[in-house]
Amino acid sequence: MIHLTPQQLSSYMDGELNEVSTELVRRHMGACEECTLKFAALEVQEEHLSHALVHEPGDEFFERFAAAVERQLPQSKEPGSKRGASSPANRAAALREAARSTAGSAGFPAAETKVEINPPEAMQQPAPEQKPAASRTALPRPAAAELSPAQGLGFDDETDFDDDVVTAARSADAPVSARPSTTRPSPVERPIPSAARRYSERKATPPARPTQRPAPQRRHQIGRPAPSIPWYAAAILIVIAGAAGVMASRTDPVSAWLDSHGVRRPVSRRANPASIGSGLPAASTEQEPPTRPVPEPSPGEKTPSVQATPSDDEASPPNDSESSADDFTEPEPQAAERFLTPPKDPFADLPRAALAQVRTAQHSKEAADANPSAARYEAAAAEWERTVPLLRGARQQSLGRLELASSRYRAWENAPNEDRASAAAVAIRTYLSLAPQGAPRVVAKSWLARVSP
Amino acid sequence: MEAQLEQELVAAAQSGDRDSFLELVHHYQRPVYRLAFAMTRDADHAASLAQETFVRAGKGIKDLPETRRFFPWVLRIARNLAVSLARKRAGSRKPGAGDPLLRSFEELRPDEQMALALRVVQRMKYADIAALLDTSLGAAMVRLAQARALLLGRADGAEGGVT
Repeated sequence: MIHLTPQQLSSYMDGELNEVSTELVRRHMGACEECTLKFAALEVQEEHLSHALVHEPGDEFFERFAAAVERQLPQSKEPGSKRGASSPANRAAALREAARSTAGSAGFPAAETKVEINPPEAMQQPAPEQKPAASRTALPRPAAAELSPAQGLGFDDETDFDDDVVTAARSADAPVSARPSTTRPSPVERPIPSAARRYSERKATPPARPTQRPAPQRRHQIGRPAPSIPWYAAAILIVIAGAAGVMASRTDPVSAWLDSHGVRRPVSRRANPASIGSGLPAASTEQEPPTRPVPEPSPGEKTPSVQATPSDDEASPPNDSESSADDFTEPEPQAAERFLTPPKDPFADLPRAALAQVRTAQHSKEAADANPSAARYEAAAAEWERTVPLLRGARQQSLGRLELASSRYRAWENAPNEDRASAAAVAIRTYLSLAPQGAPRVVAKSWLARVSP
Repeated sequence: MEAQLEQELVAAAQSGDRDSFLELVHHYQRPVYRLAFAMTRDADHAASLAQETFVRAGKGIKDLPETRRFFPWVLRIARNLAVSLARKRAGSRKPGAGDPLLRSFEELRPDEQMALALRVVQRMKYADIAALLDTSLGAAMVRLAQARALLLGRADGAEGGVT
């Protein structure tokens, strides 16, 4: 069996796979215990990172931040524009004029080739107060000690800045407060609001983005004869014929293959993250009958491959010119089918009575996963406690102990108390004592850290 | 921030309009601080690093080419400063101290750390991460997956014994 790649698991977790690939990954995980547990371990790790790497210093910090930066900026010299106008006043006036002429069109300049990077909602700061920038700078400055100067960290100019080397001389590092008052007009005297004020104004009333490009009326203006009615009719007929052909040939070979091989339709792991560890060999017990005839994929028919693509339509495709050896490589066409091969039942070699007990325990755990409650998980745990002594070999023991630990942990998670925490800790430790290295072990350790911190 | 407006603010800042530059600072201070914290895992260092990032951006904004966006450029500065800081801190830090996962995170390459931080902390989409890292979508995706797999493998290896 071919397992999911780290890229597929990672992209699936981030919701960045396209629809077809997402469905294939879901199906695979519904039948593959190893990938399910690896995915669960990734989710645990992600949750841990999202706590460990995030710090919110509070609004007060950010209110003083810009002032602290400003104090360390060099005193502004004679303003000279690199992009056109000769003085700030002229430039600002030109900006206003340009803004008037493009009022209502907030799209990108036509020459914009870079991907638009608007910080997502999560990283957008709350809308700052609608103060003109000039009045903001007139706020009392915090004491110098309130924000430690960056030099305290020992940053130096040796920093490898690649192409971003900032070579500004530090000779002009005089504090803002030491500047003569003539270098900067008071807020009242400032003749032109500057781009900063217009930014604040625009934030108050953001113009609507155009959602569609204007109709290409140019075509008729450049001397090309207008298409005649028969031409239109022929074009429409071609489109209709093409669409009919597509509809007629629309089959889903992967689904058909899955149905023909009796692969169980899995429950989405993302929809029920509590089902960690429940992807054990139940696949072989609850197989859905094929729901449609099984057309054998013709040799020329292309099987949908698991490839990662941006999930949102606005995302631009990767730039070919930037492709490198690191780029995501599309799996070979047969890979999607091969990695969907259902896993072998690890309990298949048990005697009939023991196997029946395993199935009872599995059903009990699945029932708890489908409708989680502490009582159901405790019932599942009791079943697995009866099952474990019947298991053979290290692998079966490990899987059984994992299910038992998982059930105990979920019971505690649904209704925490000391008894459940203690029972869960014992079950998890017992599992860890014989668990091999791998993702399930990492998951179990995270459980243990929670029940007995 | 709209690209056009950002360009105007950058242009104004390049011509010496301090308020325009401070408006850019106001707009991007939070994401830059968050990234700085993710890269340093220390609030004081993150504050200083974010501050120094904008100071250097303020000094160097005149050299920012018209074709480059401000935010990716600033993040690049922050990333380089974080690398520089990590080198300086490497000698003074006690080996083996702290969370094993964070220790593993520190061992990732800077671009892997940054990709992971942009995704985990800022919840950015792959297309935006790719643009910020100045790479292709596929390469950003691989970088993220590799970083996560490495962390998982190292955490797994580090926790060999039963607790």
